[in-house]
Amino acid sequence: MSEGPTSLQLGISWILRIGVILSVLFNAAGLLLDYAQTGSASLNLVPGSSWNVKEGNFFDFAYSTTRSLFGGLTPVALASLGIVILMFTPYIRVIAAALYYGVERDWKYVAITSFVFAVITFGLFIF
Amino acid sequence: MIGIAEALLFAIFAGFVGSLLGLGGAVILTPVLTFFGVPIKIAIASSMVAIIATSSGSASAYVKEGLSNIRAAFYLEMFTAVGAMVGALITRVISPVALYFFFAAFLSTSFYGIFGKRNREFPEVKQDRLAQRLKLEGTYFDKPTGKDVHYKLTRPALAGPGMFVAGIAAGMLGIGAGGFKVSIHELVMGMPSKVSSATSNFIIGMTALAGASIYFTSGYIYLNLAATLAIGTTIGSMTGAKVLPRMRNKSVKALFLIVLAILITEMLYQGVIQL
Repeated sequence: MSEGPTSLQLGISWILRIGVILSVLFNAAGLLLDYAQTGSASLNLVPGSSWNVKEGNFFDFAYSTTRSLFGGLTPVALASLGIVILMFTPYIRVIAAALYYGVERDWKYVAITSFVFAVITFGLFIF
Repeated sequence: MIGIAEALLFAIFAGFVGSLLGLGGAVILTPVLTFFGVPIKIAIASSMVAIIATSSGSASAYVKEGLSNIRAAFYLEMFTAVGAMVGALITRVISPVALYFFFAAFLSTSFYGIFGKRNREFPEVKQDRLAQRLKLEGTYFDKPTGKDVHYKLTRPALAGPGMFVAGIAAGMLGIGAGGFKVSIHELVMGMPSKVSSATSNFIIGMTALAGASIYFTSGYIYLNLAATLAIGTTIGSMTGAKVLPRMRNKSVKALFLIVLAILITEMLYQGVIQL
């Protein structure tokens, strides 16, 4: 048998696992609450509906989601939180990897992961 | 219009297949959703979010088992993330019609290359200098043979630009481009098929994140559809992640060739109907 997973493998695995589980829980809670309130299990895809995201970039969406949660746990607020957590999950794993390689003094991979982090951050801001 | 239950079932299937083959599942979800009357742009946008769920759900298991090569993934992500953003930018000014034919040709070449190696369980690779410096190698426990498999990768200098092109495909066409990535991993870098699928699963989440952000500004994201698909692909991908380690590389390759043939047909079809 091969040696067990490294601390980087374990760390990234847990980040991804926690991220997707939390995301599923919040997404499911949002959809179930909506079903409880409306009694409808159809997908309403009407422009301008409360399910339609109209904010600017991803960080604007994350910010407005956080604010909306203070206004109460609505179906849309819960599902928004699920999507925000989902999208932050791969983002956080890059940060974790960069920190790990930093501790390991593996500067080549610190540079590589930092570059990936910078590109994604730039992309999430400009679009 | 499709209901939540149907969308959930299709998403579970897409996540399952995607996790086995290193695909995000958009190749299944987008046509199915449009068939049920969901406008194409909304289908693509929701599928992009679902890809992130497939990626994170399956990679959480693959990383722990040592099937995803993290170093190779981060190295290749540099190129694919930039490519995805370039693709998302140029899609505003260039029609993707010609691209469908270009990518169909690219995938046909990949099909030919992988078909020629379909009976090879473990590739034999002579590592080049850059791959050695980047420490591109790994070990995983192969359940079907009951042995540890140590593998080495090669030609990262060629794989990088290839992944940039895959990123452009993802950004322009609204897909995870897993089919392109797996092809590059296997044909250029010499990855064993299972490592290739698992590493592609790790990467596609980041490519989709880079590509998905554009859909937030354009108003094509509907949270109820995106949430349903994300739940489904997470369930499907976590289930698939339990199956892949038990499969032989040859079986993964055979399954991938079938999906590759479907992808080529879909690319050609999309190109022809948009002419």
